[in-house]
Amino acid sequence: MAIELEIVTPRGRALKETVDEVRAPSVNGEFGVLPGHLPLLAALRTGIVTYRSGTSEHRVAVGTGFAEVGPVKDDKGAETGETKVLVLTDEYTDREGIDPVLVRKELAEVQDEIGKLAQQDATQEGAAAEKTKTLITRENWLAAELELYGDPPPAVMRPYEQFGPSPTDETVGSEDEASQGN
Amino acid sequence: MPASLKAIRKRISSVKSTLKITKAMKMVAGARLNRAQQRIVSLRPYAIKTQEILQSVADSLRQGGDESESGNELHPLLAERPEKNVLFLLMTADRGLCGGFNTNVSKATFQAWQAKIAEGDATVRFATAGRKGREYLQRRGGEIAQDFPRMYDGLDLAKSRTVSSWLVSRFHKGEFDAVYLAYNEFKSPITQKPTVERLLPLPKPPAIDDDKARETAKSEFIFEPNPHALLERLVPMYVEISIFRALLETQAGFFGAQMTAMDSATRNAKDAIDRFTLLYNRARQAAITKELMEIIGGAEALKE
Repeated sequence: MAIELEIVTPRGRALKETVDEVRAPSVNGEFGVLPGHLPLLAALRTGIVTYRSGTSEHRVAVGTGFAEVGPVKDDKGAETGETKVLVLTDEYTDREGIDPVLVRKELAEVQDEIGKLAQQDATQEGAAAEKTKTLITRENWLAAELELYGDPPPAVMRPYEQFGPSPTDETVGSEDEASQGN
Repeated sequence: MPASLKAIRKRISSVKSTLKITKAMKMVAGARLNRAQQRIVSLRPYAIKTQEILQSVADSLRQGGDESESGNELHPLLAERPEKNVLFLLMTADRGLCGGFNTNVSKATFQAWQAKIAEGDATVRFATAGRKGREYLQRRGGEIAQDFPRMYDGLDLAKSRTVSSWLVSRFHKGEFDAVYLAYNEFKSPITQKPTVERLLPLPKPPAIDDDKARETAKSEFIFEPNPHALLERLVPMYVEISIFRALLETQAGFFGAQMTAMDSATRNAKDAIDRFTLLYNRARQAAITKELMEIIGGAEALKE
């Protein structure tokens, strides 16, 4: 029994590995997957995915996205008994791919910009809100990279990374309202 | 037979320098095409998986609720409305020298536009990515709601996100009832197919007829946090990916078309050079013959 871990980004398949355990950051908190896990579909926030094969642990950083856990099926659709973890994410990097100096520099720039935007426009509507959202997503990603590198970021991740539509959006039905609180 | 030798020589050298340019452009386009093609290939698994996940969430929601529950309750971006305000997003290249690449897709858009108007009282507006398409529509009096300039230099997901978030937010507000995407589908480096397809509302996932298939589709997923919230995130993501894919295909198609166009231009230039060289040689020989005749004539005259 093992887990097939696959991480896919818009730039291609980033990682494919057979492992024994996977831990990933969902919007509700970190969750772990062991072989035989029930089918699960989770929204991921920016953070660190940890996977263990044997006794060695590896950590990689991922951006926002989704994780799908399910049984592996062969060509005929029969289940092989293995478990598959598929992570779809915007961003991916391992520790080797990080240059802490560059990341720090960009983080400082992004934070600067967020500060400026916040001062300019306290109400944060429309395009400004959109821009802030993009910047904060970027900031979180940079912070995650630094965390993976082992260089603790002075700026903690902002809990802004909201789930669901932008706050200005009123087209959402009331039955969803309860689930928007993340 | 025209032309002094000098005039022909001039023609030849001018065609030669054109040949150098077209050859270089062909090579550059070829190299860029390779890169663009690779990006399409690497995006593909991501796009397919996103679609699969979207499908399974939508399916499970449908099964959870009433069978008659339509897409409208699933997600606002799946909601069908009468198409009163229609937006066409036309993707062309910023530059020409690529055969009929820009014109074909622009024409296809124009036809779709006329068809929409003929159908009824629809208001049609346009958004454009690419200078050529914008100019084409402006010449024909199309109302450009938004132009996205310089999309193709350093095209990445963040750039396509600006397009998709613009579209999605306006669609949410009800500014548009339908959004169509017009782009060149990248079939192969030498063929691009102008395509106009509906982007929003998203086409409903096909209904599952077969009972057995329904059984397998009904895999008991645990959703975290819950299916509705997942859809909230998945659907815009899917739109984003679709736009990104179309932009990539446009870019790759442009390089392909440019390569093909420049290839035939190079060939034409070579033909022209051959023709002019022949002409030049003939003219040169004629001149030599004429001079000889004159000398011989002169010598004959002296003898007498």
